[in-house]
Amino acid sequence: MFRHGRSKHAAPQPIDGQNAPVLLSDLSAGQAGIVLSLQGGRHFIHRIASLGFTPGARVTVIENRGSGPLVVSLLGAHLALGRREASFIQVQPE
Amino acid sequence: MSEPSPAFTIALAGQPNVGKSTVYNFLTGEAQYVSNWPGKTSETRAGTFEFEGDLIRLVDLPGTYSLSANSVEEQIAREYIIEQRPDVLLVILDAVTLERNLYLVAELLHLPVKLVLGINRMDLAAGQGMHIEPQVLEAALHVPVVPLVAQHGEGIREAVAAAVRLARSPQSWQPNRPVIRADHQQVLAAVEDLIRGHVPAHYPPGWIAMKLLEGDRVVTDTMKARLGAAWAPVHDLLVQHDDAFLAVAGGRYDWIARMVRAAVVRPRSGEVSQTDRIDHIATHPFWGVVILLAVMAALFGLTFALGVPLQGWLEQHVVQAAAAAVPALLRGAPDWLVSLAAHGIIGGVGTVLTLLPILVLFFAGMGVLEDSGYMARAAFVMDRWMHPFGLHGKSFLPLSFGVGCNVPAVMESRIIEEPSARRITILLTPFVPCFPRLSVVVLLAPIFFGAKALAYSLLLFSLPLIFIALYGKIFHELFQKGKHNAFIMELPLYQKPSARAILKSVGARVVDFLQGASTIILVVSVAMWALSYFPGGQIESSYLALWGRQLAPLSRLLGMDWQMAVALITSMLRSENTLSTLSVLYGAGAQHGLAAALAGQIAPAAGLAFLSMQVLFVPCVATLAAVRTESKSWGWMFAYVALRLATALAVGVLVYQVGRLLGWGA
Repeated sequence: MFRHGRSKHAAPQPIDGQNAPVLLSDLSAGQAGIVLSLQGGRHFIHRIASLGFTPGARVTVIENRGSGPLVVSLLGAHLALGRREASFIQVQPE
Repeated sequence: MSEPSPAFTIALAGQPNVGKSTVYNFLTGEAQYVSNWPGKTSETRAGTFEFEGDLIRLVDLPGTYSLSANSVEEQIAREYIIEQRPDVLLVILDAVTLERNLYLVAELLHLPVKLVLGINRMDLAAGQGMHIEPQVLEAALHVPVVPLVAQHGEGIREAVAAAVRLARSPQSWQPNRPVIRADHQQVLAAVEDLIRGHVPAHYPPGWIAMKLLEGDRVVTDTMKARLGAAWAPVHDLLVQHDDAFLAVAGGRYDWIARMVRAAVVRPRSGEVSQTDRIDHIATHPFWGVVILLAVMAALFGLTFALGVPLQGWLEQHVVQAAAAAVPALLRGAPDWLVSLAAHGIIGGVGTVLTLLPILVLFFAGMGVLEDSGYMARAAFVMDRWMHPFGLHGKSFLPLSFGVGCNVPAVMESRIIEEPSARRITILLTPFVPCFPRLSVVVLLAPIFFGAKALAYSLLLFSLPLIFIALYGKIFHELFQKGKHNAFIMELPLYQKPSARAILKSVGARVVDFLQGASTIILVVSVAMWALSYFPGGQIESSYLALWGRQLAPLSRLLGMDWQMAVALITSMLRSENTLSTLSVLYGAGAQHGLAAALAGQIAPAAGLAFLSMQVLFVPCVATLAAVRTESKSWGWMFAYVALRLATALAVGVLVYQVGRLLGWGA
């Protein structure tokens, strides 16, 4: 069963030996990551944080073709996200 | 007339596309249509219904993801709740995306309003392998929770009963509220102290303080104005904590995770669902476009194949029959009155009537695509092609509706959040040639170009697309100065389209068309009739012809005679009027006679110039009315008319003059 918890620490720091933080747009299809930080201006951050893109949230990339928008899964729902929007979200790959 | 005053007011809140409108329609009996596309209700509606002997007022608030003033909808919703204080807020949540939907609840719990939660689409969630226990969630939240399948009316009465119970016993309202993180609690208290006494009436100071901490623009501006010089210390405090929003939002999601932990079990992630399998192809950059083209071609083909014969049948057996019956019915009336009734009024009503079969078929097809969830994928696939023009995938929907009829298509632009992107979409959509406009090209191209008709037609169809791209680019630079519009869109689960939902969507769009277009079509039809009848009773000697002849110098530049210029002008009433006007002015009896009348009279260069102008010319008045309504500006509408006129003339002159140089003028 899928655990409902979110990552204990709001923004886990990369530890040596772990995967280095990347942009959400760099994850390939099937990969998941924990949101570390958001860029892109206050308005944008408000919008996506209220959708659940907050530090500690787990995001899975469903489709990423290397160009064009991505499909991601967050909190059980699929969202289309422009490539530029996805590049504003820094994640810790799992 | 005064109605009995309602016992309670219940307001409906929820995120976009969760089924609020379905609940509203179920209770009030109104047929607002609902689509599987986020964000249909853009303003509040209210109605009444009876429940166990009580009259209850029901207010449908616009769908909002949160209560930050990021959009007009969010501002409308929160101002209504705070200032109007409904007795109970019935919050509709989507079971499939319950956690995200609870974010709104986390915000609402800080407002002075009692909540009942209705978890909709329990059936879809179960189909996804999700297991939700409403009573466990209710126990965690201390808020009444009712499971719903709104589409089938299940649970709606129970939700209303829970709301009425809560309204009757306010003391039972003891909800579990999310608590802000400890380090921000002190800041929150400090802000609250500083603003005390300056908070607008009705507004809870704690909520204002939290919105300030979140950086809410509207609340910040209001408080800045109210506090005056006393704003400085608040400002300093907020600047020190300008990252608070993420902490607040993160805190809410932590709270949500705790609330649902025992109540919701999701299937193992990693299981590939049916939706995922379809989407793997439907969102593919190449195959997705192939599918989209095939789907659209099938839709247009079907609409054309079924709609055009129906339209012809109505024209012949209803409109022309009615017009033919007029002289007998109005025996003894003056000639002008008979002509007014037969051509002005029946002509106008007939225009509306004969457009309906095509509209109904096309909207039904679009309804299937929307309700199944496919249109969101179409928007996804088109996204990468729209960015160069400052638009994103969502603008594809209005543009594709434009092929059916520009009037509801322009109205469809409401789904775009950013005002500047919405305006660009409003201005670009009427460039899409609608079926009637296309039909003129299809019918005239063989007359003008003979065997080469198909090649020329394809060239002519691509012309509006070139201008959509060109003006899209220009509007983007002008209105958005390179600003970027975020593309964030929910991809709903695929579902079997429901006949009821499709019927409702067709009904609502036809009503949109009738309300937006019918009056203006009738008025302009009568005006056009008057211009083509007076002073002499013959179109050849009418004001229209008189003025048309004045256009002769311009016509020479375009290689066309005055009849063709007049035909273009009458297309503003209705795009395919071009054909009937040409028939009358060239003295051809019926449309079959038009080929004979025009044969050999028009050089290929002039024909091409004429049809280029036909596809680019000022759209019909009904579309212009929609542009005015949606842009809320006469100025934009007139500027738009000027732009279209200038574009059509420039292209017409260019095509004819270049064509002549190439020797097509003879």
